[in-house]
Amino acid sequence: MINLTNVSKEYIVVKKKVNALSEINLCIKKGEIFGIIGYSGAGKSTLVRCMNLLEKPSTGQVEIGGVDLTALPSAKLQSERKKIGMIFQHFNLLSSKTIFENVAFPLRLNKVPKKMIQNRVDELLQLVGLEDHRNKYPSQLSGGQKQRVGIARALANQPDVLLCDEATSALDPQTTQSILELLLDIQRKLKLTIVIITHEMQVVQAICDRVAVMDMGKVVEEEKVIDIMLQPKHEITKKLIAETTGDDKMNTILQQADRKLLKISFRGEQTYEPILFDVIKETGVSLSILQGSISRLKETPYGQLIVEIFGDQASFERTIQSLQDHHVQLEVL
Amino acid sequence: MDWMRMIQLFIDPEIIQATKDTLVMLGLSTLFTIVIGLPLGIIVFLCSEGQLLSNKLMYTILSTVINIFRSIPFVILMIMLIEVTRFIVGTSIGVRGTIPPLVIAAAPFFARLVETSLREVDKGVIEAAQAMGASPNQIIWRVLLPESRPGLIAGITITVVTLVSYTAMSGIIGGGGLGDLAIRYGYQRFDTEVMLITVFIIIVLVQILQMLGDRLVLRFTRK
Repeated sequence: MINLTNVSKEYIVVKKKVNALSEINLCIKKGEIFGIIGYSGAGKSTLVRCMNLLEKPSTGQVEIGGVDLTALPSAKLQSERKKIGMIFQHFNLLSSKTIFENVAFPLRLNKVPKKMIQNRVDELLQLVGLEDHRNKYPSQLSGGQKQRVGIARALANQPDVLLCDEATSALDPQTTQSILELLLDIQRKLKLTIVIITHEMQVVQAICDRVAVMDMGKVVEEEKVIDIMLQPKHEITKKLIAETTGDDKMNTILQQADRKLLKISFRGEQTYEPILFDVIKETGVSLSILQGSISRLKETPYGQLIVEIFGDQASFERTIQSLQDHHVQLEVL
Repeated sequence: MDWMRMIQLFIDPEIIQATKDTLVMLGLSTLFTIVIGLPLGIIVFLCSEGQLLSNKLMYTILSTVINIFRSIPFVILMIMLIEVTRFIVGTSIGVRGTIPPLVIAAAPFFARLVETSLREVDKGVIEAAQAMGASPNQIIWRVLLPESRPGLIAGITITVVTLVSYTAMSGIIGGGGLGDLAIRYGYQRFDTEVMLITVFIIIVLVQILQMLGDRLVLRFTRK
């Protein structure tokens, strides 16, 4: 659906060249929710803005739905953009217009007949749960409500793609959750392709299928979310995950070399099976759980435990063997 | 000072005529100032850095021209423009002869105010419109102007009030209206009552205009 080929973006800042993006290659499939995560300054916002050419890439190709946007003259680009919805961190609603008019705005740009606008806007306001607020102005709404208006507006032209630029970063955790649920719900109903820019791993965990991790203008890792969570490879990824799970406090324990530590990862239904109990029964070792989390990524349950095995080397190896027989993922720390 | 005369002056035909003349000059010069200043301000804004038509050369040229016109005191500008005024409206005196210098002085001033209020429009909103596929024209008419409406109205109010004092100044070169009256009677004939009455009418006029402007700004403010 969205193909980026060798996309680079350079800025000249005080006569110095800065590479905001270098050689990005991404392939986002139709109907998936794709996350792009990274710390501020990693280039993720620039990347999503390159997708609808709010920023023109210095080099490279941006292809959405089979159309090479980078090759289009501006009038054609304007009509292509109507198929790409976008929501923003600061909502960017027209303060001088009512909620109704804000959602109607893209339809009016498109010269849709009045009657159809009426129906479509009503339908959209219902979808985002704001039908009672149609005649209010944005300043009268809360942050979460404003973002709902933003979402309704972005969906007005029935786009195939929805770009979310830090859409939940200005919201409190509870509101974030409700906006994410709304996005997930919309994605299921409309079969949209959604790209989500965020610096929070929780957002990725909650709704993304795949994720790209960015650092210094590069994509350093791109995987299914579950693989990233259970087996992060890049330092930045590990840091991002550690911040959400509180893993960073484990480091002092992990550095004590003489302890026999195992990291066990469960994915899918096995998360809820009594595997650890079975292993203890089979091997007779004693172990203690130092740290662990059991959670869900969208629908997939997953878990990760760090356990310490007490006993000699032989019983340690026996435990590893037994765990492997249960097809769980293992890492000796 | 003769109070009775003061009161009588209120219905003096010459004063009433002068007030009418001032209002006509004010109305027409405001209209032309907006017609010229608004597009000029929009163009200057769009040419400025980081905006839709970002063009450094164009911006510098327009900005310099605006600054030049704004730095010449109106009394001097009006005298400098006598020939130009004759060319445009055929005379350099009276109500007609006053309007061109008023507009030439006020339009660049208003353009600057337009530019400043457009700058107040949230850049993110412009960007959102771009992302929705709005053309530059649509962005001007459907985003920039409605979003900056309170600022533009405030700008018009300031400009009109400035124009009131300019119309009075134009009395020096025979411009007509209340200023002309004040100079001919009040200054040249030491007629204090006439001078006071013209000043009084001008004060009332400015108060009304400012109040009207403030109300409109309030009515259109949604933030």
